[in-house]
Amino acid sequence: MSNRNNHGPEPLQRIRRLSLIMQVVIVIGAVFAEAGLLWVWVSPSIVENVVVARLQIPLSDVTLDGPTRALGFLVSSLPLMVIFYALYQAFLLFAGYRKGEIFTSEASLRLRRIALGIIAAVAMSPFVQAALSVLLTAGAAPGRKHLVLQFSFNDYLVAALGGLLLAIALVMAEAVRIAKENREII
Amino acid sequence: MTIIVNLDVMLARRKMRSRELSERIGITEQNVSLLKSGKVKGVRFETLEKICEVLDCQPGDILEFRPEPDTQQAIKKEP
Repeated sequence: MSNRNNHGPEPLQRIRRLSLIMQVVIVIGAVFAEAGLLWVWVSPSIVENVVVARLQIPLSDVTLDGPTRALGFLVSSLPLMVIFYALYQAFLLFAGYRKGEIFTSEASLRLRRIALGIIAAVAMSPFVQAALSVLLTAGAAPGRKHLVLQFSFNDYLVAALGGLLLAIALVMAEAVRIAKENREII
Repeated sequence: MTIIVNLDVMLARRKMRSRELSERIGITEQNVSLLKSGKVKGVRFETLEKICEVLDCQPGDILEFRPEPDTQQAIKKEP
């Protein structure tokens, strides 16, 4: 069910243009995220500079053979899969906006899914880093294995953004209910 | 619903079709039909004003309060 904007065609046109831009940004972002992750795990030197440096593990304790990097890629892909789900929901949300479907229950549901996806990805992040630290140091001598638990300020910011988006999604659900009720008043 | 919409009665009295009313008050024929059947949550004063103007009637000629038996009993029981 669509709810056309009553303030003339211009605001809706602006929403349509922005939605198209956002859809392109989402596709490019998804492609670059997956390609970037693959690029990181293909080369041992990049894993050293990006992953190991971030985990702050001594290089001497790290194993970077093929199977370890393949497993590392799979483990790192887990939060990315959740992010992809959120991006897909965002893509569909903007597709709806382009059709003028703004105050709809589908739009508020997609917003909620995006928010939950972001929160889930942030919640997974410390566990993924811990799993990576264990994986990368699995071949190290006893006493040199690492279990890294990190929660950065960036994680906090993204979690806060997810919470904000969830609140907006709930407000949107209420707005949809009011818009529906308003349509039933003639 | 205890509020009855008598728009169809007024239309018949004025020998006017729903289409003509919808054109003159500026709402869709579908909305006039919904209004006639009472399947709406409410009527805006603006719409009511236009209907009254076109049909030359009072709001009371279009809207009627008819209490349901249960509601009447409940009101009577209250001290």
